[in-house]
Amino acid sequence: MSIGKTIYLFLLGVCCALALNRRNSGPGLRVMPYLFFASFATEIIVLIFFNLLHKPYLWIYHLYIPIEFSLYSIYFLLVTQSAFQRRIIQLAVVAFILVSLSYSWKVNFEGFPGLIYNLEGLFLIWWSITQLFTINISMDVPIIRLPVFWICFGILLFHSGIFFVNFVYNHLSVNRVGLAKQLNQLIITNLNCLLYIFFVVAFLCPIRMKKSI
Amino acid sequence: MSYSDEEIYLAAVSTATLMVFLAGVVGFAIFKYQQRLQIHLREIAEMKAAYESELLRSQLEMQEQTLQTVGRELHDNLGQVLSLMKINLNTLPDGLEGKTAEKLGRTKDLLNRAIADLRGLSKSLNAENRLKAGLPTAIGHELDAVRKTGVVDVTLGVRGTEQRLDPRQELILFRIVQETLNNALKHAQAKNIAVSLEYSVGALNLTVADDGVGFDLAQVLPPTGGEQGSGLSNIQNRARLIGAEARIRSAAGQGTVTTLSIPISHPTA
Repeated sequence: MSIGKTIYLFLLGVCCALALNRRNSGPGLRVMPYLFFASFATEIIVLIFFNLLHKPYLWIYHLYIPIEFSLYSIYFLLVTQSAFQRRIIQLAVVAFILVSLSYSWKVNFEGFPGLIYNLEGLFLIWWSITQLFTINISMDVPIIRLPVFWICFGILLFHSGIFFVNFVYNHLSVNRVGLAKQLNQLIITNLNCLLYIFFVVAFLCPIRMKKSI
Repeated sequence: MSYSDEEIYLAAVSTATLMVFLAGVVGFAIFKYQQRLQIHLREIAEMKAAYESELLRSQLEMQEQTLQTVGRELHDNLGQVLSLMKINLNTLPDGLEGKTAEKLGRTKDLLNRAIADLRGLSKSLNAENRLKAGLPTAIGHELDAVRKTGVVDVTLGVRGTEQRLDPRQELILFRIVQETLNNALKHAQAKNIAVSLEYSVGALNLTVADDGVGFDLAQVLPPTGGEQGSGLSNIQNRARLIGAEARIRSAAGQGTVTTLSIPISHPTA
């Protein structure tokens, strides 16, 4: 296992621990433990199937992506003030699950569902931008002290960064295996590390706010 | 589906551009949040100031009503009792002699003085009544009362043509002068107090100066306000309430000068 992957799994573990410890820190954060444990379980399954059993493992992403999207959607439902935005999120979740499962059924749960992951990314980028511009100002707190800022910022960077990899990953993993591995290491793993660093910061924000009060 | 190297390169550049663009969006979101936060903080500060101003106004109105009630009660009840006592004493037979007559004479003098003091106090408490004749006259009466104590010499100077202010402004200015005189008498050990009113076009400058012991302003009136300088803070808060600016200058051993500047929006003679 590469150093990047090890760091990523370590950060994911830290997030799980923080999320469990701080699940009552604020609206939205209570859903994050489920997201982190789903990610952690997925990575473990991938490690077992890929490294130990040497069997196909990409099918797990066909199941993980709808779960991840649903959990992110619950997060945005909890932090969004606008009733209209909440309605859109609710409709998007239903539509996304139907589209995602239809696609997976069509491809027999084979290959990486890059298109579906990009569809998720587009929704999350949209909601993150909307959320960043409508954060409720109820206290004299700079934006960088708010967990929602770091979570939205992380989502924006991660999903915009992996956009192109998702499109070409299936093609590269068959035709140019070396490049696919490099991109996986260089972009996906590193962006994952960045995303979970941002999540760690998000969970530390309420602690810092309490101390500063 | 297959991709050429150029297409992959183009996709990578597009992704990098997208990331940079979204980072810019985040920067803009931070900027907008800071703007909204500043507006929010300004609104809170304005609400707080309005609340404090309203609270102070209510306190002053309550205080004024209480003083008026006390003044009226003193005049109507205690004043009547003292007047009756005087009548009764005057109806005593004239045939008293020696120490008894002397004691009776002294009692009548004391009673006359008590009645005069009571009237003065009653008028002083009922400032609205006193202010009917104008601010300089009301301050003049107040200074007369101080002069009668014989402790300090007082002078009143009026420059310019008297212009009437809003009744509420005059009332608060009068109360500030009373508070300042009270401070000079109680704490300053002053020998001389000079009050001056300077009317100019659209403004009134009111100055109360004493030659007392003075004080270190920084110690008595800390920047954050607080209990220590509550009397001086009261003066400044009351002045702010009527749109006046209060400046207090003092130093140990060099007396105190309190200056109030108030704009007169609709001057009337």
